[in-house]
Amino acid sequence: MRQSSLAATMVALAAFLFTAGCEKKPSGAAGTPRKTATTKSAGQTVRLTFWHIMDYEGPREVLATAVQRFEQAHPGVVVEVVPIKNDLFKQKLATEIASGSPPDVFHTWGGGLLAAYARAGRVLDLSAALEQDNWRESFHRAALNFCTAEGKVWAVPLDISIVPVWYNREIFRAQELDPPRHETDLKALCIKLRAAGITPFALGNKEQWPGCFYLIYFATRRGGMRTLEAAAARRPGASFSHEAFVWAGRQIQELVALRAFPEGFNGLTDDQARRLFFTGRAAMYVMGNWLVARCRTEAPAFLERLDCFTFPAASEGAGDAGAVVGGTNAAFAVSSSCKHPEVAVALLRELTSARVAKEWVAIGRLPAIGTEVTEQALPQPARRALELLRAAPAIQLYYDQYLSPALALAHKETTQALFAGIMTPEAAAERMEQVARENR
Amino acid sequence: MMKAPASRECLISWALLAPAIIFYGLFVLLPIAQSAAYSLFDWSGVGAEKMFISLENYAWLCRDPVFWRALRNNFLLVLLSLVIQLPAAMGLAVLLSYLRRTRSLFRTILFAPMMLPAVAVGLLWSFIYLPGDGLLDRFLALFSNHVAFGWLGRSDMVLPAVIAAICWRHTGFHMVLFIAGIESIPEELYEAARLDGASEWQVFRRITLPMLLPVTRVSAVLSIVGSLKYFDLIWVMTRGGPAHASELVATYVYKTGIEAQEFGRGSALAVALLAIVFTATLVTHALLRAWARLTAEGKA
Repeated sequence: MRQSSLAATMVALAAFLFTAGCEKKPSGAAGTPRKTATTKSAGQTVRLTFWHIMDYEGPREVLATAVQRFEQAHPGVVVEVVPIKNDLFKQKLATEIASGSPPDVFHTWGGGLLAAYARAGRVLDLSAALEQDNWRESFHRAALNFCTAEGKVWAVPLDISIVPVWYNREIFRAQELDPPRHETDLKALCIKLRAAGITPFALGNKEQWPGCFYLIYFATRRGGMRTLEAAAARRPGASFSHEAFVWAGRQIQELVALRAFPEGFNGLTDDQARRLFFTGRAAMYVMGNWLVARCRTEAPAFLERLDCFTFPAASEGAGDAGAVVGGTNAAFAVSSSCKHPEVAVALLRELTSARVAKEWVAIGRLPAIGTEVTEQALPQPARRALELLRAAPAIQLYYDQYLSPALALAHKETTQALFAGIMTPEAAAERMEQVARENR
Repeated sequence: MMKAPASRECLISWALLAPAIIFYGLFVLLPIAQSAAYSLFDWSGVGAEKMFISLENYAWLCRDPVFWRALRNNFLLVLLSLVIQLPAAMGLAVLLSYLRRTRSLFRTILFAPMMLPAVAVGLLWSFIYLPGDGLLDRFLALFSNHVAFGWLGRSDMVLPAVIAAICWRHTGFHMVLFIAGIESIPEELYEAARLDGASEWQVFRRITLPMLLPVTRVSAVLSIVGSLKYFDLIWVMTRGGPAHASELVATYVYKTGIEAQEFGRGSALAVALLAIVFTATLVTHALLRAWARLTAEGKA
């Protein structure tokens, strides 16, 4: 690991010497469109642009082959596929939509941001298309709900993801540890791991969303999903300064005080945190089940040691002990500015076909589409995640996708401030409430 | 009879200026006017709903603690850039002036950070600051047992850490300005001084430094303006975090306008930033001119 980061620095340095002087060119492959088809029959060529966030081995290939199949079935259609890294995608899409030049088909997590775009008239209403050929019935209801706003469907989900607590079985065996049942157990576990010189949790919170999982879980465990729903909907008496949110903030700060997270975690990226986990330097990792797909390609040997349990319950409180945090991490929407909406919808049908779902399972991810695929096709750790999903009475959508854009940003900023210890739980909750009131 | 050619000349000069004026108006002045107009609305930036709220966004800005925090960070960046970059750049330029054969080699090396893309520099420094494994921590590990330091993750450490990277990137640029300044100083002045037995320090103090005053002025203004509207390295390395500890006004404009979809507020922030940069430039110019006048009077 040490060697590799030094090597990374050297590689980066070498890369600079080559790129020096071409400041205007987009750096990295993220921004470069990859054409999947070059030659097409003469006559009318229909061009579509398609942006997604699966910019890593596995899911990227699944989507690329789906697009290839689509192009073969639709002569004269060229789809320009642009995979963009998660956090870069958020910035790029927001900018392109604000400036009025969005891609024809794009990834979405559903939730509040999609609803905001839908209300602004930027997304195509798919409700009518869903009624044809029983398309609607093919989707997992909860996943489709994430893509629904004001009674209409604005995107179709391929993926369903949940966030369990992943752990390194080897470390747990060597230290004789059991999955914690509630937050007191969890803290005891952290103390033990630290004493053994192991970082309890891998966390890279520079991009702010990875730390949010902790706040969402603690708040859901303490106050239930209804607390957030009521606060976001501005129901009378409901508020973001609810005791459950304050309690959640306090749990986070207690974990920080126990040194449950790696040194400098607020400045680390999630990629760096994942490496800490895969190299056995951190024992646990609160992350989506896409981790399995990452593990298959980045650290295949680690699959053996990978296992998960559900986030510990609250020892006191009226919350949902079994609910899982999750959402859809690959849903696709059509921009209302798309010139060939019927072609774009046909592409969505291909992207959410049973065949793609099958390939999705094969790389270790959970599809939002009912298929006859047996669980056997899933890698073992992903099967454990599926069990947690099946046992869960409900899915709490990631807050930063559930909430409106302004509240989502405030949620990420205040949660990072809680982790940094520069905001009290009360002040963070009060700040959320203030932003909610202003954006009513 | 004299008027005709003059007006033709005038016409020609306007015709020649027209493309530049149109371009400048369309892509600089118009967007500024648009931002000023947007700043009076409550608007998400993507929807059709727009509500006129006059100066409400500016009232929000004055109340918003993050804006003041960002502004404070900006001024710290201005101060440290002036105090670190300019003297370092001048020192390097003077040192290089003593080199003969290797001068252009070192000049290229020292200017290289400026030629690298900001994203690349940001990534490089992120690697350097990596807790435990980074170049810096591994260097510190040679002297002490404390080997993991979360440089970019600590709110008390992140701003100096990022400013160090910014200085590293921009010092070379100011150095090149100073080198050009030194090369334009007449050689006779140095010869005369050395004939009179002046020490190297006296030569620097009495000739180089005063002769570099005009370049220093340009450097200072560029540095101040650049620091006030700074964005790129901060965005790549910390995104203004953790929890606004390295937030600058420009990063906050982006977060507010685009991410939070508060386009009106974002525009108000941008207009405020423009006003601050504009004022700072005027004040700097006035101060430097007054200083130049004072030193001139002192000599007379």
